[in-house]
Amino acid sequence: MNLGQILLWMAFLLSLGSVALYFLAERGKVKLLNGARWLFGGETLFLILASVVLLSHFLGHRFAYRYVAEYSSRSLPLFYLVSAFWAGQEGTFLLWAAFGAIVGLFLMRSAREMEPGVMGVYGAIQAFLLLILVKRGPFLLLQEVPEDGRGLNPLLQDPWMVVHPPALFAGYVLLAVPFAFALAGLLRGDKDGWVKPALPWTGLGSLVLGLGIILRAYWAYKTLGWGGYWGWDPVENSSFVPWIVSLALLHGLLLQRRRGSLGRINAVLASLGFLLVIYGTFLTRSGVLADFSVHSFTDLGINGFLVTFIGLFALAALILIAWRWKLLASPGLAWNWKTSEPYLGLSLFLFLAIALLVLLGLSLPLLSRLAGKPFGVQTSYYQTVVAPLSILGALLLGLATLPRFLREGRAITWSFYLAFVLSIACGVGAWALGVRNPLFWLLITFSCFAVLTDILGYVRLRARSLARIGSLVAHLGVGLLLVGAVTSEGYTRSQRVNLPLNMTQEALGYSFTYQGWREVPGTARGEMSVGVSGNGEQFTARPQLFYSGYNQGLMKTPAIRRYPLYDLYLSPIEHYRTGDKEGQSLALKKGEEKDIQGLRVKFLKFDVSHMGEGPGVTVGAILEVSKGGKTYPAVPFFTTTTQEPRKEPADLPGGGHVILEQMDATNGSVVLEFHGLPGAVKETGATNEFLAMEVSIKPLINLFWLGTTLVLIGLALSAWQRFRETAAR
Amino acid sequence: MKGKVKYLIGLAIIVAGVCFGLLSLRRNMTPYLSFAEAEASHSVVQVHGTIDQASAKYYPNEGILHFNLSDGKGKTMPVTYRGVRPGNFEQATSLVTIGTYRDGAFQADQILVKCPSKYQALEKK
Repeated sequence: MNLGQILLWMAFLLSLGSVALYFLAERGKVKLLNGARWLFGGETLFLILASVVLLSHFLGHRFAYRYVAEYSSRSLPLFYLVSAFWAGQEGTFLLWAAFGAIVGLFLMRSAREMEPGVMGVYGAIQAFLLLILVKRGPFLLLQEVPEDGRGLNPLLQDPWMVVHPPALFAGYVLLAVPFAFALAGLLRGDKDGWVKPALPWTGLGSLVLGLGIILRAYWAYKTLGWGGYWGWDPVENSSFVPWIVSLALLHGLLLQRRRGSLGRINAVLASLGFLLVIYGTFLTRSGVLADFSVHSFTDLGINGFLVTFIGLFALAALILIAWRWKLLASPGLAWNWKTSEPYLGLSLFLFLAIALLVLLGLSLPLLSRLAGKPFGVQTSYYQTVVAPLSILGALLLGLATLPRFLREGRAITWSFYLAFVLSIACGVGAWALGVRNPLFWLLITFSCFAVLTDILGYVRLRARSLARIGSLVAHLGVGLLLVGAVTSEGYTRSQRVNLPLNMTQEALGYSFTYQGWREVPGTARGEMSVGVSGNGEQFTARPQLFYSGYNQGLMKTPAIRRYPLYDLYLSPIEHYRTGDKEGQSLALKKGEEKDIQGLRVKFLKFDVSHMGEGPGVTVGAILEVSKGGKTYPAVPFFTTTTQEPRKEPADLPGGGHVILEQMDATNGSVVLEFHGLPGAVKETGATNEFLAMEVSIKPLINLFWLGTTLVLIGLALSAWQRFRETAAR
Repeated sequence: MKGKVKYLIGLAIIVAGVCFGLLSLRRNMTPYLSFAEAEASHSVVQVHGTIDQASAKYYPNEGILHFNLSDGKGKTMPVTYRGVRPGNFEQATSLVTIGTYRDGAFQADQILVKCPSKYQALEKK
């Protein structure tokens, strides 16, 4: 056992001790509380030390460790060497547990009198993560120490990729906090006591998980080059669903704090949010979705653990909720549309509906496999499902401001109606601009309604509380991001262009000139230079297109030109040379001479000197090529293989190449094919290099990014305010 | 009471939304089928197989990819895909494709290339 594994074992054992002492303290042995805290502190220390050790293995290039060898190499820059920590699954579990331990230290103080129960449940989650780490940590040694590591996937070598996984895992950690509070409350039979302390943590969890999701969307948009930011992939969905549930919980807790209602629903939501995190982890890491996702996963052999993990915690939550069901009975909501309660209540159901429908699509492969024949679901399912629910959500957002206007009296209320009229005007404008799809039209109009009521609500009502401003900003953000999502997804114009080298072509009001490929200095990446002119400016776009040995495939990174109203998105598709089809054939017998495009070609004899090297039969045709009075040798080769023959071309003087297409040894004849000869492609002036590229214009996509940013700012403001409130008490 | 009615209307709309969602789930389901079943079906399905790289032909000008997919049980099926060839297609051995069998070939709407390396996002579309 090595140092890292010892540290993980220590942390695991201490976590068990801490959980045991916390539960004993919860049962009345208050004297044990201090011991439990010390044990948890020790667990945190060992987890931090284990992380430091793993980091030092990466920095010291200790390839004896499998994890280090698999995700880094000597040539990796320092920045990415650090991020290789969470490039694989074992490291992300360590990151998760380490974050969890650090958050636990703060939770310990924040939970106050609920500490034993909350930390008992929270510590049990930590213990499970540590069990996985002990079973399958990042400290496994290799039998043979390799000279160099495999390196880091170039797709992951991007600053946005470096920051988003930690944010996601911190979000997962934070979603465990409301779960711990809810279970501790149920355990104690305290119906509403957990709501106040859990509220700021829920807000913080929504903020951090949302940050991770949005950073990942931005990374996908900027580097993956398939043109979008959200693909409803299982990996995306598995963090999206818990996020939506945490937003539902946030709204539900606000109601329960105000009126004591929704006790049962909130207990369920708090449990669901966390259980879905583990469920998502299971789905995306177990390989059950391998045939349904563009991500490929390997089975680490921890499925049993994860299933037990979900099963045990789900069972505990279920038993506790059932046991306390009567106690959780709470006054119903006052369905008075002049108060904010019905809107909060409906928003909760709307969130839940979205979460459950996405969850259903995500789980379908697993569920149908259990039932027999596996089924998948197309991404269009998610769009058709989420669109109508978003329309309802946007309408609800606008209506939800009404009670506040009404409270201020008649003099102010007219602003609300003004917003309604203005949003109809926006709708008319959208129609005039060409929005004909009824769903899109409703979504845009209602989102405008939400945006306008929020802006007027802020201006006219002078929201003073930070939490209030936070909710206005977040809701404004939702309205804007919905508009941005509709315009950028629904009204993107795309055109495919094939650009011959140094020839200008027009598309979507811009003209493009492909100016060549080069290796980016200091990296193993390659980029294209594409001259772009249009919209009153000229610039050089540099989309990347290169072969990656790590992925054994072409890597493509788009070039994006930002304008206030749209993005010009240039996604490279293929870099190729013509001639495969346009080649000119020439049949020659031994000793014969023929002319082609200013070249005189003579077939001298076969070259059989490479016979017997490797599998297959390799034969060359020794040619004499004369151009402008000078004679050059050229020997194209032909190798038979079990599949299609491999043809090795020979270069020709003055450009182009020749391929040995067919041969007949008995007759001593060959068929040659000439490619890329000057004059062969007369119109283009001797160029045969092409860049195929997809040009897209994505209208108002900045609204989407602005909206997502505002949502995060709003969540941050209200979480900050609620933390201050709980601290003051 | 008036408020309660409004709430019920709201809830009814959401329930309708969920029902609509479930209906579209049925419409958008893509069963995972064998080659023979896919050929008999006329709706969108997904199949999985090994790429016969020797048969693969890509026409970058037109953006058309042709290749044969074999199911490992002696059955092969020609596949036509219109769109961008995934960057690691040439190195890939097997893939999952979603589409419809029509006119003697599988018309792919989407191909998911299985890549030998692990836990990473690859090409979409």
